[in-house]
Amino acid sequence: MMPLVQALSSSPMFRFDGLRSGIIEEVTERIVDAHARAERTVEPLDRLLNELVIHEQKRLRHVHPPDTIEDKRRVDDIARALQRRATEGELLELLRRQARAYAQDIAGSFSNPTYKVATSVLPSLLSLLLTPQHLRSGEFGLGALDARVRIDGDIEQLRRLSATGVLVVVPTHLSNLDSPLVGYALMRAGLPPMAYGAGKNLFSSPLTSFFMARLGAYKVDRRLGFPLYKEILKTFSQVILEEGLHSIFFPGGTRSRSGAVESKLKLGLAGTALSAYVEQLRTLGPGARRFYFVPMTLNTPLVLEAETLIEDYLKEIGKNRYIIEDDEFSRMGRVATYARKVMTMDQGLELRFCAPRDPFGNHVDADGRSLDSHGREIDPARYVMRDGVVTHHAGRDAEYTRELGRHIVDDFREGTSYFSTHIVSAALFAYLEAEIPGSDLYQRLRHPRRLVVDAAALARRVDAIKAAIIGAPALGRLAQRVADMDGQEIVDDALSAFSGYHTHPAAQRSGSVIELVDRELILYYRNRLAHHGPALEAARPVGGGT
Amino acid sequence: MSVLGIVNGTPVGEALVARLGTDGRKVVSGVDAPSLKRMCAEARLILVDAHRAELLPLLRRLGEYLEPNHLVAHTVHGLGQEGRVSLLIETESACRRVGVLAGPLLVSALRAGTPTAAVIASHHPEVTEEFASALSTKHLRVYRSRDAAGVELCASLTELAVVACAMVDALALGAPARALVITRAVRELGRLVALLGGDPLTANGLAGLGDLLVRSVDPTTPSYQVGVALAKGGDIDPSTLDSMKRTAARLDQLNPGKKVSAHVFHGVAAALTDGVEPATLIEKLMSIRVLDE
Repeated sequence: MMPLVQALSSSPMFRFDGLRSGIIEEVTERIVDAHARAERTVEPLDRLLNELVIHEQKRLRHVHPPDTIEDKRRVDDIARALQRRATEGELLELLRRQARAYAQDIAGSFSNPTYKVATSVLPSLLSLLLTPQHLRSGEFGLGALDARVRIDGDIEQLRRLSATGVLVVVPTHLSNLDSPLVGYALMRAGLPPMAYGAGKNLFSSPLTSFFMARLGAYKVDRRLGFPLYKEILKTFSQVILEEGLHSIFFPGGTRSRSGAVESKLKLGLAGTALSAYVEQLRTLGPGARRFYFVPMTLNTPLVLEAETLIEDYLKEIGKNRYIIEDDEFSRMGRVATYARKVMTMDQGLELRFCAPRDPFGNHVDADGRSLDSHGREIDPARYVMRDGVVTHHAGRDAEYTRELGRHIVDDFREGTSYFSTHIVSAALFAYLEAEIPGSDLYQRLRHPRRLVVDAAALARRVDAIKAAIIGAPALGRLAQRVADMDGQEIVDDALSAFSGYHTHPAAQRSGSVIELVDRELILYYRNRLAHHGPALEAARPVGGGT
Repeated sequence: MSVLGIVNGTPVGEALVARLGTDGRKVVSGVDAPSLKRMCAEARLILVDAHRAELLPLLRRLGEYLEPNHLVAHTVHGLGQEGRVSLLIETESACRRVGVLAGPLLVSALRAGTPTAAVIASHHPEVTEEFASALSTKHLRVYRSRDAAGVELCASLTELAVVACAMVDALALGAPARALVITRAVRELGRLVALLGGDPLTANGLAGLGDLLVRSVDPTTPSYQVGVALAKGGDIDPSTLDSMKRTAARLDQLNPGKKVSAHVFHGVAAALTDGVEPATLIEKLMSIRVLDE
């Protein structure tokens, strides 16, 4: 087997800078080819460009030069060409120019020196920031961070697969801190760096932009929702996967607003892994690289942006506020407070790599061979063959990807860890439902009645929820931190976690009772168990209220 | 023309083999291991026709030979604890492209070559396209649908509505009562399909209304015979009764707390599992508060 250091340094990501211009040209030419082909079934070129013009003119009205002068010029050229009914050849040339500009904007880069800095210095700084008490003892370094972050999964298998195939890591998504967390987990697991799409808004800070742009992040401009941009983004993703770049996709699309584990996935970009696999099979035959999806769950007792996210969810404008720029992530003080809070908890973070799957949802063995549910080996190439010939088939592949999404949702659930904050919130919310029955959610959350629950009764309910979680392992597990705690200890742990970070604690002790203080936060943390029928059943009814 | 493999585990499968053979299609069939092996080697399309109770061991045998490039559809009726048959096929084999064939596939009509129709449903476009093409002849029209969950549910629950129609006939309640049962059952079926994420209009199609119109007047249909026996007394085939009881039990799980109104279906389920008398059931159905149609 290849030594770890050698395996990492041979990662395709380290070649990215040399590949960058070729990738941009490949993306550009594939886009032009797709629209130049006479038998195309896609949208007519003039309509496609017209949509682009409408969207871009609207967007560019609200941004100011000098950054956008070139953008405006290109869009104006297309608009004029459409007005004078330019020939298809002229339109294709304008398409090429525009596609190249988008591809350049999307393409990130990778800097080996920056990666070295990031992997050697930043964890120490992060650790120091998170646990300043280590400054006195001089013990700052990865060790301090490592003790607080638990990383689960068959790491050895993933290392082997990354050496021969392409990993597509698909994590759950709760916070803007998730990208660095995943990066940290990959580094600690000895896995190679990966490419990932990050919202362009996250590049707004010079510091984060510097590192993200050099650590494999490519830009996804969510304001550009028109078909051509999406097509270019997907093509870019497919091309870098074909080049062998391991990739990360957040299949929830955006941070979970409700706090629930994602159940509806957007696998448009992740689905490009299947297109890349088919293309590799077509060109390389049996020697084609294999692609492995690795679902990953990020489990924390507290979420940095919980207050903003649940507020957004309740306003039912989650979709409209796809990009939130004014949340807790934008306030460094909150980030530091959050980090200190979470990182002073032993095993306060659990990052879990689930068992890898092929693009068709089958598990794979240690050597990457696809297996059916009875352990029989499968040749995955046969899923995309017709009469022995590998074929692209958009409808077929979309369905394969949809079904893969079903398996990923199951993996997310099974790989979720429940902390005290989730368990206690489930019990408190069930109490809220019992005490204010028949109301809709909003009335229940805003009902003026002060609600308290007997602490001992709450602890009993927490014990019941804990038992329900243990009894249904396919729906998740207890976080290691709470595994040996009894109901009372879990309540105390949750109250301790809630105090001192959020503007108001979700709940707090008042003598022998627990007061429900911030019901929206209780809902948010309870929602982590929203898919867990037995736990929610065990949560109600809460007795002992006063 | 594609070779079609048919696992002919019931008379419907046998009638399909005969009809398609007569109509010039190349069909390989069988249920034993050597036949299944040969079938999977020769055919890309495999149609599984089996009684629900015999399905799992059959799928385990078939799963040994199915490969990722096979397209599979089934005609299995009845609900069970194992979940949807399509998903069971995926679990027991390497196949991902799976569908369901449903509708008024009467053995007598298939054998006689009188015009008949069915629907093939799957999310996978290749399944609907290739099965529709392979199964459609001048005597059999096979329509396509993307609503696999809806068609699968209709194919199974229609049996309960057939029981209700048979009860109405056995109690000599007349044509208006039969029309009432059929129209309400179809509406309820649409609600149940929607509850499970399907398209309510599927209930109005061949797998729902189409199948109900045919089976509810066919005294050889096992579920019709169950309805008559419940109303008039008489022997009931134990395996048919067991299968219907499983469907009834599963219905209660799929619609917990009767989240959507399905009085006809839950009423028949109660007659099957709790021994509610058909006359009492009809009386109860007639006393439900009348709402908008």
